[in-house]
Amino acid sequence: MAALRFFSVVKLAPRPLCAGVLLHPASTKFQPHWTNTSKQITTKSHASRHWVAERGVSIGLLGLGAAAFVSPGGAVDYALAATLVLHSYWGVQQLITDYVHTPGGTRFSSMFLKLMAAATFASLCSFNYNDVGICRAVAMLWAL
Amino acid sequence: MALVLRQLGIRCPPAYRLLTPTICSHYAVPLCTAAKQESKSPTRPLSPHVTIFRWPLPMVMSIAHRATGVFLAAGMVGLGLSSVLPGDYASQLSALQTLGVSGFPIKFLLTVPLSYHTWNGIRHLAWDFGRGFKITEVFRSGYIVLAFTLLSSLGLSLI
Repeated sequence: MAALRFFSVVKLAPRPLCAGVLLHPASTKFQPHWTNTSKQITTKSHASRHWVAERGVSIGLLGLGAAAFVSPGGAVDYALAATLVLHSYWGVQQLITDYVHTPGGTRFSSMFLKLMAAATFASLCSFNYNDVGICRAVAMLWAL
Repeated sequence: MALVLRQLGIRCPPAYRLLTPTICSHYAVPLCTAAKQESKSPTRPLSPHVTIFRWPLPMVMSIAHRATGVFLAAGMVGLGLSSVLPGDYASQLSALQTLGVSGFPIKFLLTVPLSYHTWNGIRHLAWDFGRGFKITEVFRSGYIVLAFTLLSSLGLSLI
């Protein structure tokens, strides 16, 4: 109690009150407790920014779908390829997070997903460039 | 004084509980090896749950949203396959036509997952903006999504 009275008299530098822990610059570095993720996650805001990005892409995809109806063409084709692949990649990544519980399984499926997403995007771009393109392809399927 | 109490609490939980009635998380112990193994492949019988209780509409629609998403992603991969397989898209389409893939049924089969995922996706976005969480609203928006799905897939298939 006397110690507390001493501290109330002496003017201390303003610092956050944290029981028993002295704040040192090294210990304030963000240390995530998870282990089976890539090293890119270095800030606390990564997850919430990812969440916002997912919704942004979803809203963009809605607009793109409407644009594909209104003005089908090359630009919409490539934008659709990119947005669809990104949206699907993030969606299937959530599936892996939900259903794969082992760290080894997660790493394998995530790697396989990355491969599939890259290959699908490449093949869709090739389809847009060398063949009729996504919008035209749907129109041709509908004309059958 | 509060600081002294907190220091006490960190060091001796039982005494702390006498001073302030709080739930102490220090007693939460992670699963030991035997328990972890047991939870992975339990030999004990499991109480029936999903097989005996009614499946509420929001639950079914949530699973359907995921299932249609997977189906659409697979379809997208299939469309990408077109540039990998031999022949151009037009010849591949005519090959599919000879197999009997054409007309209203196949269009309907393709538009139902797309329109359901889209309309339910809008419902999800409304939730993400914090709207429509009341139980009545959840069910009502669910029925609206189902109605829109039927109408839009019918409309798109009849083009």
